[in-house]
Amino acid sequence: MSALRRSVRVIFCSVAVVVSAICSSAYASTSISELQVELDRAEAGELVKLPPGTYEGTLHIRKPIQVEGDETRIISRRDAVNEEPLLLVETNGAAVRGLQLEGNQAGLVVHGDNNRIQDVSISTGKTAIKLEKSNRNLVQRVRINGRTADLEQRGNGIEVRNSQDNLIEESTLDNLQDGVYLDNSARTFVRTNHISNSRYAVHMMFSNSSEVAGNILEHNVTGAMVMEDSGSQIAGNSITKQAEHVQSQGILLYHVQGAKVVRNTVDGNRIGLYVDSSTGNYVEGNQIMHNFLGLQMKDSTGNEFLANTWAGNVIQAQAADSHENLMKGNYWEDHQGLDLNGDGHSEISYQASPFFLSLTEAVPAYQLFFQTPGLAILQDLFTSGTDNWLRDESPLMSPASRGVREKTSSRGLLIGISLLLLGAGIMPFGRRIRRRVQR
Amino acid sequence: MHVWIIARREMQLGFRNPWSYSFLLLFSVFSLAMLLIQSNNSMGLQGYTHATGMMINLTLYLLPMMTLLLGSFSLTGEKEDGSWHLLSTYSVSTSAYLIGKYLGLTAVLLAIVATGFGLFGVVGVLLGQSVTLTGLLTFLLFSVAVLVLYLGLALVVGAIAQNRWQALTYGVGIWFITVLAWPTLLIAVLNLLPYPAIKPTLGLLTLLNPAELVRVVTVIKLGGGAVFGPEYYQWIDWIHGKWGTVSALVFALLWLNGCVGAASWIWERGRGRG
Repeated sequence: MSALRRSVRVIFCSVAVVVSAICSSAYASTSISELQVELDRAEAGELVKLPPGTYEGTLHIRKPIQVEGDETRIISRRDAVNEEPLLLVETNGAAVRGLQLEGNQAGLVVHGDNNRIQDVSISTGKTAIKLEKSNRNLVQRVRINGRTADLEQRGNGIEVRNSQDNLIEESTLDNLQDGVYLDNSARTFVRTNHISNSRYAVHMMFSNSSEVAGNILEHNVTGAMVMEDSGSQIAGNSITKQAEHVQSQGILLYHVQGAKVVRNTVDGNRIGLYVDSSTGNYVEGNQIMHNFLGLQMKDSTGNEFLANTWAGNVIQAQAADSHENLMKGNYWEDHQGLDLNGDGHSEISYQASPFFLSLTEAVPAYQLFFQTPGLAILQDLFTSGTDNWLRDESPLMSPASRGVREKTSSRGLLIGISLLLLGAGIMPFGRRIRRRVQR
Repeated sequence: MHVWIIARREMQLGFRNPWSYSFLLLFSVFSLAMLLIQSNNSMGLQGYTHATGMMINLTLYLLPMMTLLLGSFSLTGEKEDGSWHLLSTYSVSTSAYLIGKYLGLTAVLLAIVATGFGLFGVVGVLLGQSVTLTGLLTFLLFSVAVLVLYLGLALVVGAIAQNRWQALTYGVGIWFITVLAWPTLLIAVLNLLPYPAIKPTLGLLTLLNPAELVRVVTVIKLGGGAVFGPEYYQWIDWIHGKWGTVSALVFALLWLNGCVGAASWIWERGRGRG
């Protein structure tokens, strides 16, 4: 009897050990409050390594310490208050590395200067990273994924408000409302990030002298949305495939002064570059290709467009109510130029009719006539008074650099089907001819 | 049964008809010309680009005219040379006759279009052009849709017209209104309407113009629907949705039914008088 009892006790104990082992692999033995105690106890500059595991709740960094995670996950508590973030940094000069934040509350909020956020991955339906009145911080190699399918319900990826001189780089942002949202934050640098499937990849409001460079922005509603801004730079980005939404565009400049838009590849968007109510901007060396509409300009004056390549756009450019813009040395694919003195520039200027833009501004329903065959004739009827048209005085005869040719896949199949079509089409005709010859 | 006999006879006549040969030659030359224009630029035919937009427009300049003339001439020709009078001594109903004619003519026109695009594909590959299979099939489908819908109109023209000259006049008129003058006419007329009525009227009229309808649907199918702006996002959803293709087919059937119905009615009236 006692032997039986002993064996039952052994089985019970071993089951308990296995269960606790399984539990400890999913949830860490230390609780979040113990981690918090450790953070609070650390001296300034000290490195605190967080053990692997999943923790529920909020961590609060109040001292300039270095916090490093090793497969450390912080998730929302069930009774979490929405306003509370998963990680709150309220100090200057702290560093956070290697954490995973997941849940339905804000990810990481920074109030302070000179902090470094690196290698953090965040998955949330709310704003993932927020810098508020915080300067000279670094956000690097961060991966953010919004959880919600509904565009309006999503939060922003990295939100910078009333802050200056921050740097956001090498990060991957997907499925968000705005990938990077800058509000009243001057000199913010957004470099070499990959932002996709969001509403606006980069959204700038009142963020003067900022720089968006070397990023890949694709499949968003809008690539770079620059509003109420002066002196910012959009350079060397690849801005592609913003075409599915009826209000999509690659780059939008709205009420922008003195921006530099240089060396970008703007490919396959609904509108490549949309300039609205903007003055004194400088657009040079961009490849604006395969967009439905290359350039749209409204109410804009004093802008310069130099040495850009406009090719493969269904309509290259249209501009209305825009005067005194300088356009020189661009390559326009649909232009039949004539180079008399051999300097590579055409002596015949290129001009774009404002007719369709004016027409659709008056009645948006007429947009259905976009590129309809009869439109060219109608447009030609309205060619008088071309003084205020968009005009390139010396367009390039050939593009500065050739675009990449599309690769043709399955050539064999293509030629097979073509031959089949040709054969099937010509055969009945051929039979008649043969018979006629035989007679 | 009669339908099939008429269709076979129409094919025999059609593949022998000098008009078909001229159009075969014209469409082939036209396909090669499109290839040459392509070679001036570095663009492929993927999605909605300048190259695809241009192909669509050039096809719309030629194909509807070709279809209208070939279709209507086939009907008026039989009135003129008396073979319809001979046929009407047999027990052939007007609708069977017209449907047979329609099927036979479709075969002839399909052969012309297939030759053109086959040539386009083969020469394109040989010249090393960036022709793609999807691009080629998109244009083939686009052309077939234009052809099928305009051939319905051609039957009506053929039924109304007494001889080839009349058919030519009506055919060119329809082509001019639906292709060349369409935006001009519509903008002129729609501007007279109160503002809220413009969009629905434009939508309705677009449904009645095969050239414009097929063009809009093709652009949307190519992924370029967003270009029509916020006014038309429901159209895009609808065409991309699961009922898009089905409703296009149903519409085509209704259109053909209407055209053949109208043509038979007109034809019957002529038969009574004659």
